[in-house]
Amino acid sequence: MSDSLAPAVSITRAPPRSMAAIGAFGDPAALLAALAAEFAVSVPTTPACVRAGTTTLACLAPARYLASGPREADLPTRLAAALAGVAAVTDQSDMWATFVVSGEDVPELLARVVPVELGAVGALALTRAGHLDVRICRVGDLDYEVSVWRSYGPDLLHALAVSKQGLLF
Amino acid sequence: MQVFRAREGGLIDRTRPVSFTFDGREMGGYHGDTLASALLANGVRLVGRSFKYHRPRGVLSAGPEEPNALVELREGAAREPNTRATTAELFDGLVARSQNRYPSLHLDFLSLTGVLAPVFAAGFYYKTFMWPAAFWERVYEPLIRRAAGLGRASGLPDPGVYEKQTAFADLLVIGGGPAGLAAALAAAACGARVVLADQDSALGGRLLSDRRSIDGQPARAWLVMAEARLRAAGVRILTRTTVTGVYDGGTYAAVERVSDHLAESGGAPRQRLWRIVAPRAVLATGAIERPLVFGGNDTPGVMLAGAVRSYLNRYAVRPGAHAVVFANNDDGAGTIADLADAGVAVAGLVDSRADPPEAVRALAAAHGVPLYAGATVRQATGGALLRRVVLGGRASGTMLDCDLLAVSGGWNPVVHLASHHGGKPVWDDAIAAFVPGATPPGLRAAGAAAGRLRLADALATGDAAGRDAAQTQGRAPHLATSPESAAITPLWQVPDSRGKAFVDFQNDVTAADIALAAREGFTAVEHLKRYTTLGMATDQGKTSNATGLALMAALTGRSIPQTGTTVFRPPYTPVAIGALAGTHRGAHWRPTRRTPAHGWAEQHGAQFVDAGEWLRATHFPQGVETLQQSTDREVRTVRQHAGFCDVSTLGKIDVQGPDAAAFLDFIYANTISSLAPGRVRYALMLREDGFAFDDGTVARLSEAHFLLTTTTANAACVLRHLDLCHLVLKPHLAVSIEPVTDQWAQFALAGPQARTVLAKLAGANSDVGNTALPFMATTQATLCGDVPARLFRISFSGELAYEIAVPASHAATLATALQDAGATPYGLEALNVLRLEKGHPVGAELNGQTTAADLGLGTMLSRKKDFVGRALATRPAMLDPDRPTLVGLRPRTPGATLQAGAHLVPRGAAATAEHDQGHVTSAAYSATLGHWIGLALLNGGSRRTGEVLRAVNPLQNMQEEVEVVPRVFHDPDGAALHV
Repeated sequence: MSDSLAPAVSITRAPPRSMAAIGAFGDPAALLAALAAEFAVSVPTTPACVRAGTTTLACLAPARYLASGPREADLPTRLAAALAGVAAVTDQSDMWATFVVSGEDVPELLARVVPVELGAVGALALTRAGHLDVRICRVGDLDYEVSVWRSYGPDLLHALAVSKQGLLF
Repeated sequence: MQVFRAREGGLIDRTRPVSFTFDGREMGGYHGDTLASALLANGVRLVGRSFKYHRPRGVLSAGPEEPNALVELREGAAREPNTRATTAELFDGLVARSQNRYPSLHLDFLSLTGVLAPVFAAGFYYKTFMWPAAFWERVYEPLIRRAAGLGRASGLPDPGVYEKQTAFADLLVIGGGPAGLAAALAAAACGARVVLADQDSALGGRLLSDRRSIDGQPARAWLVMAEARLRAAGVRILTRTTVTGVYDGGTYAAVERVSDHLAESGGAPRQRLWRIVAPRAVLATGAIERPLVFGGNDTPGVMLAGAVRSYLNRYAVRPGAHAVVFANNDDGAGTIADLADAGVAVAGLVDSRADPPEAVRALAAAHGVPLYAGATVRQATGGALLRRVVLGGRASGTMLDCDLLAVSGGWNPVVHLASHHGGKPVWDDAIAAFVPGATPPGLRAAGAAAGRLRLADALATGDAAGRDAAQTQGRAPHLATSPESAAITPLWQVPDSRGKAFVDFQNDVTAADIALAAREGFTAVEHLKRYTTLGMATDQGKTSNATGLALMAALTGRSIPQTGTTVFRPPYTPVAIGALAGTHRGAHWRPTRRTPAHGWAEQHGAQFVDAGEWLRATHFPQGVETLQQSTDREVRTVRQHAGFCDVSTLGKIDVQGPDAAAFLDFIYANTISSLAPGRVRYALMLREDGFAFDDGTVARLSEAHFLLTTTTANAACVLRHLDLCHLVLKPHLAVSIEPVTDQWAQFALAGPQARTVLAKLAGANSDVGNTALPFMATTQATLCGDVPARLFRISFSGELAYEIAVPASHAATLATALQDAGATPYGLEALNVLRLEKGHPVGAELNGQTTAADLGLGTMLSRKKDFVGRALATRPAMLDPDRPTLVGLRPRTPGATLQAGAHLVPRGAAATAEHDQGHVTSAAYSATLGHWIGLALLNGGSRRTGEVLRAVNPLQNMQEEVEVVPRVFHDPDGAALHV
């Protein structure tokens, strides 16, 4: 923990994004190839997230991905065209509440929130924060994004806030 | 006055005096004291009363094994009963009270139960109080419960704050004594990530209490060095942290007492529950000393020898002025040196061994202490404070005056955690105690916990365990330690002892009780425990289990390992329920979900109700309207004009893919594949066992794209069911399933004016006319200028109705627009009345015990395809025409009410279970019809229209004659739907 009395953690709500859930219809290889072509990145096949320009592509489960980017990117429309016949694309732009948690004390904070320890930048886990199903991704050395379904947003914020308070002791 | 406090020495901080009260009496101590050490310093020897006989009890131990000195700590809501005075750290203003006594600790009327001891022998409650039988529940049990027992719970909500935390490590070291420190040092030196947890406030274990030297210097100097090296290596050191359980996958639970030792928490959590994940662990939990079994061995002033040394050396407290030491081993016998050096007169060393080792003889001689070899203490006397011991054996008849008897029957390794996965401890003759047998994966014992009682062995085995965990070779340089011996000759029970000889102090179980259990055939360990209560309650037999086993072994002519072991289960020490709950309490005991239009509803005066995790608007009262008045107005508005209701909580699942239609045919009982794109169908799914599971609508948005709705309650279950069916039963189908409940804000817009309202929102962008959007059709539209929307012409109310879905961020915009266009918001209550008027089943009817036919939906079951539940839905009992089926009900008396939950019995029959023919599932006042209506599940209901029955609710002393009527009360032809 840092020397000052206040915990070195900031918790902010991520701005609205364009988000598209992607689920292969059958052949995962076809989806991998299509995603690689679309984003020009090495597409992960285990839980992890990669950056492709302004878009983040997260692998959630075998052959299931979540793409997110700036609102104007309109990923559902773009990907529905690019992945037609290969995968389902579902608009989830309004479905998630995402909080960006940053700072030196973040590992200690997250140890109070989720029962997992994320690896290097890009690591991602679908896990539990108390009663909540959360998706957590390490987007920087000391920056993490924690996401829940929109209706659970206030509860996740509460969990983060009380855990931040706990850092004082 | 701390008259028993030495002028110097100890690990207390004499610059920080502390005042506290015990039973209202103000006393002083020092920072670094426990409540027990401070009480002893003040000369308080009588601390509690025993569980059953209310015998006076003092402090037996100096650790968490304490069976006697249990107190109520703090006051008011924070009062915590059964706190061990031996582990409660002293703080300024601490308030403690003795417990289980009336009216006071010194004058306890209930101690008369001791006179009646023969009545209260083991298993007494199975034998006595048998007559009259009716007295058991009302008289005997309450009496026994009041007389026996421990402290009082406050009965108020726990004001403490708790939190949870997870730690990951390569190695968890459990116990910060010499073995644990050596293990942590070795592993940390190799770069391993180490967590070191110790239940005490400081590291050191027995090194804090025993006068030892390591590497030529006092052990405490080595301790300081070790802790500094561990901190420098980044080891996470958790003091005041008890590891309470070992779980799967190298997961350990531990409770850290964050602010229990502070007068004011300053906002800190009281306790923190740790989940420590470590593939390797070193069990360095040390050992607990055994008392000896002789008459009056529970008299205040009889104390474990190791505890005596703790009070002398760590707390600078003399626990008595005139001492006798009674031991069967070298370690205990050595206590005479600590006593003598502290200025306590030692009247004798009673060593039960016929021929004590030369070192013991020399020690006694050096301190001028008479040695009684081959002797025992046959009886301790004095009542509330020890005055004299009577010797037996070779010194039979000798009496020694004393106020302190230090006893040692040897040491039991703390093997509890090692057996949390079911591994049984094994007997070690060398130390006459159980040591860990098969341990949980990754866990290895070291030091005293492994039966290596000597300091040199503890350091060596700890080092080896640490290196093993860090997977490195080598060995730490040998550290010279002061000479010591753990030689022992077991003495399980003093022969010819007089008076009550206790084995389990906390439960008042005597040697005689164990003998009684043996005579009555309760010789198996688990029977012994349950018959005598040996090893139960808060200490879980930490000082008594091994001795109890040994006594039973002797009584039955078996060896101790043949007699067995008891199973240790988590938690190792009691854990506050609050610590397990963490922050999930009060309003946060479960999540609270709010719909995207929640804020809008709040601003418009909505009242809310919990509906599962969701908060839903029940009604939108205007002015001083009651719930009923508001609901009636909202119902009439929908029937006559137009209303809108937030239905965002319904589960919404996106199903796409070339095989989506085939998949949904398998999921639903009715056919989905025949649904044309742009159309919606009501659909029912069954469970595998053939009962109705959930209902909702299926909209075919395009050829390969479906949107399912589920009931609010079943949203998660249905999603899980779909995933299971896809991944396990139909993995070859090309289909993708995504939940989208939270993506959409959805409103039902209903009433004769609904289309007019919707047309205003759609403007020129979208045609919402009856031709473009007929009943059970769906389309995309743009509303309010630029809000993308999905329109579904479906109706739950029976009126011309639409469900409008917009992305969640547009919820308030849409609600405002609907109101501006002339629609009135209505809530869950009105929604329920409207659906009841149409006879639609909801959760009360889809209750997991109803079939499709019971709900009047039998014709939905397709005969042309397979689907989940089809086979079992045709079992004879499922098709029995006498099954309870859904009917409508109307009270015979105008103005009479109906109550959901009331049971239906024939007119003239008694309201008893044998006449029960069904029950009312839903009931409400219908503003449309002007009387109460209800739905019921009635035996053979479909054939009973027109019958008159009695609806009886004995809980509220209510009964009403009701008539069975068709369950669709309003617009049975559905004419309003198609306009």
